[in-house]
Amino acid sequence: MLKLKNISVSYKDKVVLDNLSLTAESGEIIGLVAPNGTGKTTLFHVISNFLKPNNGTVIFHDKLQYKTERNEIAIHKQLTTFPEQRDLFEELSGIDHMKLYANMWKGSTGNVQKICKQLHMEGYVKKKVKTYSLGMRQRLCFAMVAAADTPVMLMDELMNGLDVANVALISEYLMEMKKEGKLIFVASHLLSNLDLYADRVLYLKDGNIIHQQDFSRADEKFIKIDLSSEEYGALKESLPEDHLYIANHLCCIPLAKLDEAEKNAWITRLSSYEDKELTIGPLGTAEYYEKYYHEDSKL
Amino acid sequence: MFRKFSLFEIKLLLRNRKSAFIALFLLLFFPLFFMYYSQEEPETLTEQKRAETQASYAIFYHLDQKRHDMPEVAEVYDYHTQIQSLLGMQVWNIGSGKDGEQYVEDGLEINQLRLKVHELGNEGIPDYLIIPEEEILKENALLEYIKQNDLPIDSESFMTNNYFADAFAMVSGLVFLVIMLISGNELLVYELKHQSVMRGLPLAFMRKVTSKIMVYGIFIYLLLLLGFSIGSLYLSSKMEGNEFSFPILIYQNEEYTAISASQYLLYLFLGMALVIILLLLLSILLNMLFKNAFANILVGLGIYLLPDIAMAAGFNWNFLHPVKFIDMSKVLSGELAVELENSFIDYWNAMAVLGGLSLLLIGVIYAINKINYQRVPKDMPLEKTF
Repeated sequence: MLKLKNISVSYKDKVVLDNLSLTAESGEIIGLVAPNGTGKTTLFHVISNFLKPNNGTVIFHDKLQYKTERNEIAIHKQLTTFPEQRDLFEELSGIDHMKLYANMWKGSTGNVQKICKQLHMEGYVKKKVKTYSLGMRQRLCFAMVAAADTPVMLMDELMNGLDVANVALISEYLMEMKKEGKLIFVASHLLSNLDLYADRVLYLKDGNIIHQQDFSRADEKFIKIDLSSEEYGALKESLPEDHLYIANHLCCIPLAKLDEAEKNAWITRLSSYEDKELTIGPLGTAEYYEKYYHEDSKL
Repeated sequence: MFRKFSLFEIKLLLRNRKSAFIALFLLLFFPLFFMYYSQEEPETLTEQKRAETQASYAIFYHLDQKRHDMPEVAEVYDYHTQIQSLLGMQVWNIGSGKDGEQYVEDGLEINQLRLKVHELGNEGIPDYLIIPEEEILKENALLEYIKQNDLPIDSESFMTNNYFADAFAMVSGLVFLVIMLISGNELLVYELKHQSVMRGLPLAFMRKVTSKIMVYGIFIYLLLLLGFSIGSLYLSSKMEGNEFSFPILIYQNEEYTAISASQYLLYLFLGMALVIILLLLLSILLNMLFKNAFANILVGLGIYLLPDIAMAAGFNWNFLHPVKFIDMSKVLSGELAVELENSFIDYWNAMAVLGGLSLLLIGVIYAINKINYQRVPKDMPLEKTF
C-alpha cells in the first residue's frame, strides 16, 4: 500500500533521514520509536509531502507519487495526519473541527456523533476549544483523524497529555481501526503501550531504521534478568555469544539456539539470584529502546 | 468538497473579531455620513446663481477697465454682457418666474458663451474669476440631461445624489484599500497558525483560493450594499428626494456625461466588485510571497502610494496609473484623469485594466503554485507552506 524508496533528508551538514526505505500494508499499525529530534516527524512530513525530500520517492498503491498537485490530492484523500494541539482553532468547538475533517474526507458528518460517544467527548465537544484541557485537546485531535476515516493515518505524539484511562481508550480504538484495514503509523514515547497494538515497531537512528521489531514473530524469545555490572562481569564468559546486555542492567539470553537442556541449565543457574526477577519472552519496546538509545541518553 | 471548505471559511470569518469590526465600519459608514451631512444647510440653487451673478459683476469691473484699449477684451466684454443678462434671467426663472425649462435653456446658452470666452483666452479676466472649462462642460452635461429627461430643477434629488457621490468619494480609494488589506491580510497566513490542521486538506490550492476570495468578497460586498441601503433609507426619510432617475456626472470618452443616479450606482457597485476581487487576489499573492499579515498591509499601501511618490519626485509614469484605478469614485468623476493628467482614465477603460490586472494576478498565483510542485530539492528539502 505504501512504499518509501531511498528517502534522504538533509539540511546542510545535518542528515535527518539517510536513504531510508520502508514498505507498509493496510491493516497494520506501525510504531515509530526514537528520541526527540531523530526524524520521526520528518518521516511523517515526507510521507504526507509536507516536506519534499532531497532524494527518494513515496509510492501509494504501487503507482501514485507526489509528482503533481493532482496526485497529491489523490493521495491526501486517502491520508490524514494527526493535528497538533497548538494548531487547533481556539474560537471553534470540537465538533466544528471534527466536522471539518469528516466533511473534507468522508464528505459527510454522519460518523461524528458516534466517535464523540466512543471517545467520551459528549460532555465538552460543543464547547470552544479554548476551554479544553491538554487531554481533551489530544482526544479531539484523535477524534478528527477518526472522523476523516482515511485508509492511511499518521499519528505523531499520539498519547501526549493523556491519562491512563484515555490511553487505554485510544489504544482500544486503534485496534478497532486496524481491524477495519487501516494502515496506521504511531509515533509515541509511551513505549510499553505500543506493545499492545503495534504489529511492528521501527527504531530510527542516524537517519535510518536500525531495527524492526515484529510482534508477529514468535522465535525472538529471551531469558531476561536484571544484573549489575559486577554480576554480569562474573557471568559474561559463560554466556552465549549472541546474548544482549542492555543499558548496563538487563541480561538477555536468546532461546532460539538453545536446546531444552541448555534452557533448563540457564534457568536454574539464573534462579540463584534470589532477589532478581527472571522472565522469559520477547524483548519489549522499552527494552529495545534502552538497547538502541541508552548510550545516546547519556550524551 | 469546495462547498464544505467554503462553509468552514464562512464559519471562521464569522467567528473572527476583525471581521466584526470591518462589518461594523461598513454598516455604519453610510448612515453616519448621511446623518452628518444632512445636518448641514446646503446652498440652494437660487443662492448658487446669485453668487455666480456677483462673481460676474466682479468680472465686469476688470473687463471695463481694459476694453477700450484692447479689442479682444471688448469681444469678451460683449459675451459677458450676454452671460450676465442670462444669469439674471436664471435667477428670475427659478424664483418668481417658475420656468424650469427656460432656466435650462438659458444655462445651456451661458455655457456656450463661456466656452467662447475660453476660446478667446479669457482676455481681461483675472485667473481667480475664470470658470474652468471642465466645470462648464460638467454643468452643460447636467443641463442637457435635465432637458432630455424633462426633470424639475428644484428637486432635492440633486442633493441626495451629491450625498451619494460624496460618500463614495470618501470611502473609495485609500479607505477602502485599507479595509480590504486588513480584511485579506490573513487569507492564507492564518493557515500557518493552524498548519497541522489545514495543510493536508485534500483540496487543490486554486480551489482553496477561489473559495476564500468568494467568501471574503461576498462578505465585504454585501456589507457595502447593506450599509449603503441603510444610509439611503435614512436619507429618503430625511429628504423628499432620493429618486434614482436624477443625474450624476461622470467622465467618459474624454468628456463629461450625465447619467442617472441608478446607472451611476450600478457602475459604482460593479466597479467596487471588481476592485474587491482584485484586492483579494493581491492579498493572496502578498500572503504567498511574504507569509506575514503586516507585510500584506504595508506592501499593499506602498504599491497604492507609488504613483503619488513618483509624481512628487517629478515622474508621471503612465504604467503606474492603473494602481489608482481602484478609486472608482475618482475614476467615475474624472477627478483621477485630471489628477494624473491622463485623459484615458474613464470608467470602462479602468474596468478593462482592472479586469486585466485581476487575470494577471490569477496567472501569477497559479504559476507560483505550479512552480512549487515542480521545484526539485537540491541542498535542502523543500517544505510545503500552504
